[in-house]
Amino acid sequence: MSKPVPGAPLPSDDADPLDPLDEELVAYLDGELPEEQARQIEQRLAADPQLRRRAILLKKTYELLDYLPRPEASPDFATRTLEKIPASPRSTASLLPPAPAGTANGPPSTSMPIVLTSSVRPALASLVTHRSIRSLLIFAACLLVGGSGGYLLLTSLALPGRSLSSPASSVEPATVEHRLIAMLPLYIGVDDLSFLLRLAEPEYFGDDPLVETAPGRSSPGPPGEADAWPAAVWEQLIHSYRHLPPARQAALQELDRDLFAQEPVERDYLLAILEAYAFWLSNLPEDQRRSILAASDAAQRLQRIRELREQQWLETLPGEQQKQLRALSTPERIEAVRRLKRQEADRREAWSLVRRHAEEIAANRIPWPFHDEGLRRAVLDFAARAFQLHETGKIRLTANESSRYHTLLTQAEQHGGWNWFHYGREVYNLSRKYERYLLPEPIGKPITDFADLGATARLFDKGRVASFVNPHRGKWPEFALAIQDYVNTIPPHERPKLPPLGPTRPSELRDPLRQVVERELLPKLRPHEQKILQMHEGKWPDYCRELRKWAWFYDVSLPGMMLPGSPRQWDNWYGPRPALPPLVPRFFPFLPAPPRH
Amino acid sequence: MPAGQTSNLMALRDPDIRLMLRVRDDDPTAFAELVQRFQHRLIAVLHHLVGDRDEAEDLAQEVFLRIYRHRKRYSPRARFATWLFTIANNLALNALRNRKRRPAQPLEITESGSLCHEPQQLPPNANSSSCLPVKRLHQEELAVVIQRALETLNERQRLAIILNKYEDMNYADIAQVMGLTTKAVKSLLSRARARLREALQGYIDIEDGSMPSSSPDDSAVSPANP
Repeated sequence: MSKPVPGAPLPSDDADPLDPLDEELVAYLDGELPEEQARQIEQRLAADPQLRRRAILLKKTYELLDYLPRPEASPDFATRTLEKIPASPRSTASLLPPAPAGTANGPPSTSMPIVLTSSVRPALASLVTHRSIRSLLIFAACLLVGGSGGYLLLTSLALPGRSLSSPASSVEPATVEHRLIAMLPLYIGVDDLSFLLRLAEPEYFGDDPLVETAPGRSSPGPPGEADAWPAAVWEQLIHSYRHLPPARQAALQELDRDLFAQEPVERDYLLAILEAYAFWLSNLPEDQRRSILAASDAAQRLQRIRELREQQWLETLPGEQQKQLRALSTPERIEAVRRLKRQEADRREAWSLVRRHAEEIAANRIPWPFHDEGLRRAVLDFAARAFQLHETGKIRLTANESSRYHTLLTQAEQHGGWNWFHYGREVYNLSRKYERYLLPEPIGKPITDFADLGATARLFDKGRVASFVNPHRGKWPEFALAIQDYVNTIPPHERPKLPPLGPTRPSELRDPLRQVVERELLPKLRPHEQKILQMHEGKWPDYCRELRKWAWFYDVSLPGMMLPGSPRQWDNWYGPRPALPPLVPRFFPFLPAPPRH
Repeated sequence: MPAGQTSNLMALRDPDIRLMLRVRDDDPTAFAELVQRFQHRLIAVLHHLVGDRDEAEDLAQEVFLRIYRHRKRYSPRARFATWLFTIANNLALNALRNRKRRPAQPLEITESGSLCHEPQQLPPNANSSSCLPVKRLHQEELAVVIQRALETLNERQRLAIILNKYEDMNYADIAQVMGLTTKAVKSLLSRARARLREALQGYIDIEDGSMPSSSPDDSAVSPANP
């Protein structure tokens, strides 16, 4: 055997005789034979020692390939490759994979935040509160009223050519246009809803303090009454809008319609993003702002925004730190920036918590949902069942978790007030950690031991599988999950037919879960969402997990599977940061989002 | 199901497709992530195919750059890895063809090109020689022997084997990468495996006549072989 010499003829495929039996054996070993043929081969293998030897040799020689070293790319391969990308002004950190939640910070600013109210009224007056109108006015004046320069900027926004699926005038044409014109200063640098959704990501404006402090999500304030654009500005806005190219007008109508088709909580969030973006734009030097607004398409615009945000973030670092960063090699710098951002995100998370709850903390008020006697009892019941607190030998929590849980509960019950928050946070975190086990029991006896598996039990009650499954005997749903986990490791065509391990359609759920699913959740699903859910019917535990996903999405609490009370409220109160609204495009970024009604 | 919806569903399932869509949309970090995610896999396959580390890296770089250049035209039709290796396959076969046109230069096992003398790259379960399925061979020697056996295959056979083994690709995916029918892949792999069996059977210990199984080494409990 010698190394093939380049230039020498290589053996041709056809030079080797093709043994049809080898072909079948190889396909069988690779799991590529249809079931029927596989069974035939198995029968022949069982009967023929020669054939068996042949198959074993094929299998083992193939396994030998595992001993070949796997060559890896040299350490600088990625850097060298990225350097060859056609040059574009990228900042150091732009080569980073997206940092974990909590990245770019806004420019340092002492201005008051621009705040929009959460309620949408046809009248312009309700859109902007007096606190911030000045900043917006300046911005609007700068872009729209400031003569041809501003107007050109506005019209220069290139837009993806797309057709409108339905006419903008389907709902209250005059009102919609009125609103659109009033919102124009906020829409100025936005291409469409998917652009806006990108802006909502942490590396753009998702983590902007203006967004985090914007009211309206957990505690919507009353809409401002007295504020409106002064008549002169209003005239200019109308004038600017009417002179936009028709394509841009259509795109703005679509953006406006998409935005206001969102659920209030999601719409408010996006409005806060729009404000943060508009405010940031209005504070940029003229040339930088122009470079964003005049970018040739949405992708270029996003890239430019991100570069500037990155640059600003780096500039907020102390001088000494900037110097240190500059002295590092590129990979080291990337790593260092990543670390710094992580630390910053952690700090911001802690502050965000305090900021969101400052009032309740100061007043030592009992937080949601413990202020309500009924909900409080429901949460305690849920925790007792979910973590099996009172079932000796089956308790799900570790010793530390269990002692912490009881201490916090005792403190809350004895001292009340804000102590309930600490208990709530613990319950929230534990229910996330043990979510895997929060599955509904079937109507009949749950499967908790080999005997419940009927004839298939013999496949599991001995050897390696048994040692894997044994520790879970007697426990629901641990035992069934262990069986399912094991079965998943078997190639699909060889899997045994198991008795149903748990409920996989609404009719198999116990009450009250069934009622909540049928009466509250399912009616909320859109047809294509129902289809997705139906695709999971018959699959356990996938169906239950899918149910939970949609329940969370539509803010329905499923009894026994989720904490009692609005899931979104739980996230808002006890999540590490305000919950991102589960927008349809975010949830399924590649499915078209039909308008909601 | 309409084609658009198929690709949507595919994109939902395959995180690599989602990443590639971000590359398409000029998310500046996405391409770096893509390179990082696939560099080792791609270079492993190319290295075994062309037998030289530097050349494998050059080719891999070209693969990534092509992906970048053509990103705007990307639309998910198959698993992303399948697309990536299709490009790699075309480039590598071209390179091998060009190499044949140049005056023959023996392909020495150079330091940079060696596939064999890097014991730290052996799979973790190969650390103890007691678990080797062969008699009297050290890991390094074994690696050389296997490498030589692999090199007796022609490049198409070699690529099919490597994709099947390293990338865990099924016949349909291999067929797509190599522009063949599934049936042709079946024959190709069968010839390749028979050849490997010939070259390596002297190193195999067959201690018993137990049933070979297509399931992962648990024939005792596999329901197919009760």
